[in-house]
Amino acid sequence: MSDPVTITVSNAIYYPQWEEAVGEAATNATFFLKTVFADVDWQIDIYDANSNFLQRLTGHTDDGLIEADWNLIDTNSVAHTNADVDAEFNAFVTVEALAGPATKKTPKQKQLKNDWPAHGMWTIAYLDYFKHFYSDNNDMQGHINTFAITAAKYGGYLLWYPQPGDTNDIGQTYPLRYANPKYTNEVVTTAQILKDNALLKSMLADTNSRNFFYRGHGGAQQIGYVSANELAKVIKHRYRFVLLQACNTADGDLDKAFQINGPGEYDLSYYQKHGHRPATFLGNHGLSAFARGGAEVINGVPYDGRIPWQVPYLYYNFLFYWDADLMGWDVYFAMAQASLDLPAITGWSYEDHPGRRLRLFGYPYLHIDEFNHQADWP
Amino acid sequence: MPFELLQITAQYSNAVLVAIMPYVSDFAKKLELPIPPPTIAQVARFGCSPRADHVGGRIILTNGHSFTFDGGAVVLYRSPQSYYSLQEPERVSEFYGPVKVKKAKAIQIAHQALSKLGYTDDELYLDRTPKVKPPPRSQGKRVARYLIEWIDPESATLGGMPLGRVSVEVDASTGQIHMLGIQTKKAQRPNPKIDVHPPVISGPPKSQSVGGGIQMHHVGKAYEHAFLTAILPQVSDFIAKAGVDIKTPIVTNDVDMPHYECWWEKNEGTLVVLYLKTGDRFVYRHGQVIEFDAADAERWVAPNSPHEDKPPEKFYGPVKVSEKEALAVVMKAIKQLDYPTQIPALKKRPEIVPPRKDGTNYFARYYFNWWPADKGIQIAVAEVDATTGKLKSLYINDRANPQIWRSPPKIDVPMNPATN
Repeated sequence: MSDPVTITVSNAIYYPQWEEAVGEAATNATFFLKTVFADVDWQIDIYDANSNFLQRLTGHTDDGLIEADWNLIDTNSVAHTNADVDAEFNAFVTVEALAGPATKKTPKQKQLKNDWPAHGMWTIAYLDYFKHFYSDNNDMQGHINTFAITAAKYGGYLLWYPQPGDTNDIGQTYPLRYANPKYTNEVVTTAQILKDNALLKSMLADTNSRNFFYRGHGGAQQIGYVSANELAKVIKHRYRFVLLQACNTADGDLDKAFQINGPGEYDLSYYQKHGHRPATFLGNHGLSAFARGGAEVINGVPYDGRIPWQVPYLYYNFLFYWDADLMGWDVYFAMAQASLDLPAITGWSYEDHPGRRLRLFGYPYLHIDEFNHQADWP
Repeated sequence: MPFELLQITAQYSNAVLVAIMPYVSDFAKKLELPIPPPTIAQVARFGCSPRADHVGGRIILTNGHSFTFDGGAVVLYRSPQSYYSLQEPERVSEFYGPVKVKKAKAIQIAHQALSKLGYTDDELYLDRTPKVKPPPRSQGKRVARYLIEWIDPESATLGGMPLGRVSVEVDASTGQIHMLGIQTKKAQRPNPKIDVHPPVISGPPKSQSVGGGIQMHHVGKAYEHAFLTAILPQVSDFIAKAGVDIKTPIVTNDVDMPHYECWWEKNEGTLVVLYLKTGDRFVYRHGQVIEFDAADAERWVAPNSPHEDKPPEKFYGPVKVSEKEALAVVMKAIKQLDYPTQIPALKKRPEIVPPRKDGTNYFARYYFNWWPADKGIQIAVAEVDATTGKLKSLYINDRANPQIWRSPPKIDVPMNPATN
């Protein structure tokens, strides 16, 4: 055990672009820090989880930017690349300012297992929240199915859709059951919801699952009935693509639960620096409308309104543009053009139109199946 | 707009490829791409669009250059040396190079390329200052690429993704263009004519229900008539309080009886859909009128049908009523109907959707939306004619506001489903 470390808490050092995870291939850990001082020497002392000193990095910054790269080898030439043994590292950064040294402890850096599957799979799930509405051509269901069909071409999908004769004793994810407060006579029990949550979490925790599409209710810290915190606890691997079509999903910590840390957009050089494969998160900023309210009665069945066809068509369009077998655009172009194609929904404000609240974090140039194979990175 | 899906036959795919190849060759020539003029013989792969509303697809040549054709033009070009299309990180070092082309020159190269392709400044907002991403740093070196983007100022979004955008990747060492993408609706060209007509797999959408829903039951002719007689004073009262332009009192003879519907279900109670002979529509549930749609309301729904989109031209007109005046009409109506005391959210200012401009016309309707905390569906909606200031539609979401439920009038006639 090393000697205890003395810490001087300092606001002179900060880390606006901190990446918590060590590079995926266990080849390096990177430090991107900033200091308010220019033209100073710096040092970074790295320790393991048991406070054993491992390595010291040193350098000089002219402009306050500190960039350092550690190859995971300690002073005794021992490699610390096994995530089971070295799950995390701590570091202390010191800058030698004129007024005296300033030291700050960085957040932990976690080493993830190098377990990207041969071909990343897709988890597709939706909440059963729109069944009392009319939808042109049943496209509200159709676009989710199309996502699954497309996913089948690019790694396969995880979902559980119990058909007649199948069990849902283990829960279900397609759809996740929803206790609609407006239809209290439709009984959905807490036990059923918990089972569905558990099944969804187990799919998302499967290291084969690296892509996720969800439609349903949500919030800054949850999708359906599952919180971002619960997701972060069970998901121990990094996702490549996450699209959460629900309210406020870009406004909290859901991106971090999938280890795609927003906000911000980055090009390939950023990912190369950090050793992480590019990844994209799409969620909504603010509330997301999905139906036009109105009393409609068809053959004695009352409906709560109609889902404008533009709502599901955003995703038909998106997949049309994104699918490499079709137009082959990148994710940003595909989503923007998908939204642009749709004519106005009468009675809705500009910002409520499909796609106009979506916010992208991470890599805007992601193609539908790139970086999705184990061999694609580094 | 909803599309037909085509079955891609070899004949159709070939016909599309033959039709778009001249556009690709022309594009390569105008951009002076350092490749032989593209021909069909050089096509390594063609992904033909299966959508009837998008004639085109993506061509990948044997030399790795890729062209996506849509909306009558090549809208996306990528060279194998495009950094912003790169999917192999081990190749990043190939992009390191000296920055010999200055930012202003790179902008000029991009602008000229778009002009050569026949786009005007106005179509692609090229007279605006572009956003320029300078050559990024990577491992202490410079990736010799500029990314120049012109953004449609009218397409900003709350999420931050501009919808209208033109992107051009310019080599900072040589000035060569490696990627060009045009994301727009304004600058689309006519589709090439395709004489092969493949089978349609799925046609345009037809409205249908998403899920099960609650099946209600007929109540028998005698009960229907008795119920109608009992609620007509409530309908007249609604009309008077809402300030709707319909003569009262409403009597049975005013009702379009062939389209009068009365339904019942034990949890839902009695539900009535009532059309007047003038076409005006009322829906009655939970003891009150919950929706009114004038015959010429955009929100009007045909008997036994879901809401359908209507031709926008029907609603074009001058905007003579201000937002404030239109809102006053709605607030007066809901106040007279005593809703704000029962639904506190209605005391708040609604989201206001003003008349939108369609070319040189105005879609002359104001909409007022009261959204709940989860935004999913409105608590209440109103539509006001922007030319006349008349209230055209008012919907109070009784499902979302059970506190407004009242008991319907008691009817001394037994329900008799067997008579239907």
